[in-house]
Order: sequence, then structure tokens, then C-alpha cells
Amino acid sequence: MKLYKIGFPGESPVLVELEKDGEPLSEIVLGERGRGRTEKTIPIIGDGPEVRAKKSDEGDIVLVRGVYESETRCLAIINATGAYSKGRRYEIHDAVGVMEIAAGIFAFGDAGRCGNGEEVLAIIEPEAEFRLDGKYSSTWYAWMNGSWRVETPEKRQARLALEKVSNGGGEWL
Amino acid sequence: MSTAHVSLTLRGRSVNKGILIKDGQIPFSPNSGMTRYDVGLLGSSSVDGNLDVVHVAIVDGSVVIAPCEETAQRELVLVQQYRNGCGAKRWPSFSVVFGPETRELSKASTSHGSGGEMWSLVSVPLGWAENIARQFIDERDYPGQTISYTPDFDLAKMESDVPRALFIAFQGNEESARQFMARVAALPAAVLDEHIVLVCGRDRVRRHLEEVSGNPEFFGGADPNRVVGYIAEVHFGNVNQPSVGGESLGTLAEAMKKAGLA
Repeated sequence: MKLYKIGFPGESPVLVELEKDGEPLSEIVLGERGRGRTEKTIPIIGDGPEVRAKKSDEGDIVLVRGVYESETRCLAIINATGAYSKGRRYEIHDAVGVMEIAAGIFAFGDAGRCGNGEEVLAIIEPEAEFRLDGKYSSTWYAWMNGSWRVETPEKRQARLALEKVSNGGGEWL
Repeated sequence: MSTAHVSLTLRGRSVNKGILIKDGQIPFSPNSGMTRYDVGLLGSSSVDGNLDVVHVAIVDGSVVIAPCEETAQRELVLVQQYRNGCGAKRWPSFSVVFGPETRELSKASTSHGSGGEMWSLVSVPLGWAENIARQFIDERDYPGQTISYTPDFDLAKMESDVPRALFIAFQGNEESARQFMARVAALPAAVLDEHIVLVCGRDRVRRHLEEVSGNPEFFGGADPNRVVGYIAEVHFGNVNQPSVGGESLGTLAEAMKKAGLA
């Protein structure tokens, strides 16, 4: 599986390089350290261009490198928190086909009491879909045929409406 | 059986043929306000460009339009209502009342910023957009207007004997305009100074006419610069500035002429 990262709501998914300065990436970190926060470190072991997630006997997640060409799913690090905005729910919305396997917590305020949100590592199934709300706008993400589709709510609504009408749906005025 | 709509874009006094489709959507691109949040979808189409005659479908609350080549029986109007923002706040705002003749299909709006806009896509009878546009008075310092569809509007306005300049100066109040016309007619023409009325600035015109008329409320709230043309027409028979040799002179040019510098 390829590993992608969505750094904040609204950002397009970026492929995570499993090699950094010629050295293999040894871990990924979710969330942050501090009061009201949770930092989660996921080790990466083995050798190969892709990774798969494996749960240890103790329940911890480990990413194992290898060649998984037949895999149609992908892994994604999804930061649903982004920047502070009052009253916003920092989470993944309306998710279909998204299986969270590990999570860390970001928070705002010294004691982490000004709101907090998650950063998750998730297995993304083919045709999975979810929405992230940013400070000023929302963004829909879909994993379709080995690539990401990133849309504004209006663009998605337009596409769905056109699909339904072309399939004979809707009411003509 | 679907109804063919002629598509129009209405903004203030302007009615343009067609509704623009870009990237499969009717783009929301306001001149005033900001679009910080999700603005709403006005409509979508599988064809880009300026669509003139269309069929309209509603699916799950979304509007889909498709071009056609039939005779239109209704109008599909993209109504661009607005409140002007910074730099244009003296110009009137434009808003429309959607009456029973209207079917509102979708809307998009700004969320923050100076001024604001709300665009609506409506299905209306033929002639609706032109009727709304004709009623809108787009003159600086004229108040914002909320306009309803009035099929007999043109006839009513044609019967008015109030000059349009006064109608605008008194912000549509015909009674005040008529009272002003009576005050102008009663002015002692012999005492009026043509130079002050036609050439001088707003404050001097105001002081002169209030003094001549003996009425401190002579202008009745109107801007002297907006009504001075009417006074000149009544008492001097023209609205032009004083001229020498057929050429119109401004204040500076006239002063130079008097000083023998020009």
C-alpha cells in the first residue's frame, strides 16, 4: 500500500517518501506531545517500496515494508485538526470505507483545553470517501482507482447531480 | 414534458443574454464581500460556455441545466443581488422580491467582507428580468432598492410629469419633487445670479438660493448640484455653463479670462 498524508483540512494528499536523505524512514508520528495531547509513534520495519499495517500481539500497529502490487487500498495519515477555529469539530466527517487503526491528538491552549482534534492513520478502501472541515471551507476526499479526488462541496454536488440526471433521475421543469 | 427557458443574467439595470457555465458549474464570482465559507451551488451543466436556451432539471435540490434549441416559454434568470462594498457605498444596493410568479431554484452568497452579494437562480415568466431591470435606478446617492415584478411599471412611470433628474435628486419622492418645482417657479428671476447658480460650488449655490427664496429649506434635502440644472432650465432657459464665443468655460478659465490671462 502506498502511504499518503493529508497535512490539514483542504490540503491535497501527498505521497509519503519512505526514504529520507538516503535513509529509510523508521517511524511516523501522529499527534503531538503535551498536556491534553497524545503523541503516537508508529514504527516502520522491513524493506520495500510500500507498506502494510500489522497489529502486534500487544495490539500495537507496525508498518511493514514490502512489495504489495495487488493492493488496491492505501494508507493515509489524516490530520483533521488544522488551524484553530472556534466551535469547529476537528474530526473526519461522513466517512465511508475509512478504517482508523491509530490516532494521535492535537490540542489548542497550553493545557489543551481550547479544543482538540485527531490525526489518524487509516486504511482507505477503494471508493472510500470522507470530508474534512477547515476554518473557512470543507473539502471532500475520495480514493478512486488508485488516485485521490479532492473536491469542494459545490463541485461534488454538481458532479453527483449531473450523474443522477444522466442516469434518468431528477424532475424536469 | 420539459419547458424551454431562455437564460438571462440580471444585475441591477443590466440584463445579459445567457448564463455562463465554467468547469461544469455556474461560477459564483461576486464583486463585493468575501467567500470564506462554502457558498452554495447555483447550478451545473455538462456543457461549458454561455448557454442561451436551456432545459432545467432539479435533482436532490441541485439544478442541472442542459442546452436546447426550442422556443422558450419561460426565463431562467441568474439574479445577482448586491450591496456595494468599500469604494462604492454611495451607489444603491439591488435586491429583488421573489413573488408567486417566481420559482427559486438555488442560491449562493458571500459570508464576510465589505458589502455582500446573493445570487439566485429563478424560473420566471417571460419579460420578468427586463421588468425588474427597468425599475432599478442606478444613480449615485440614490437609496438601495428592493424591487418586485410589476407588469404595468412602464406605463405608470411614463405618466409622471416630474423630470427624471428631480425624481432621482429627491430619491424617488415625487411629492417632494413637485413641491421643489413649485418653489423654483416662485423664485424671483431678476434677483438670481446666473454665475453663482451655474458656475459656483455647492455651498455657494445653496446659500444664494436660500437667501433669494427666503426659505432655509429651499432644497428640501436634495443635493444642490443635482437640481441646479433644473433651476437653470426654468429661469435661464439652458443647462450649459456661461460661454464666450460658443465655448463653455469652467470656473478657473472664467477667472483667467476676467484677469486678462486667457
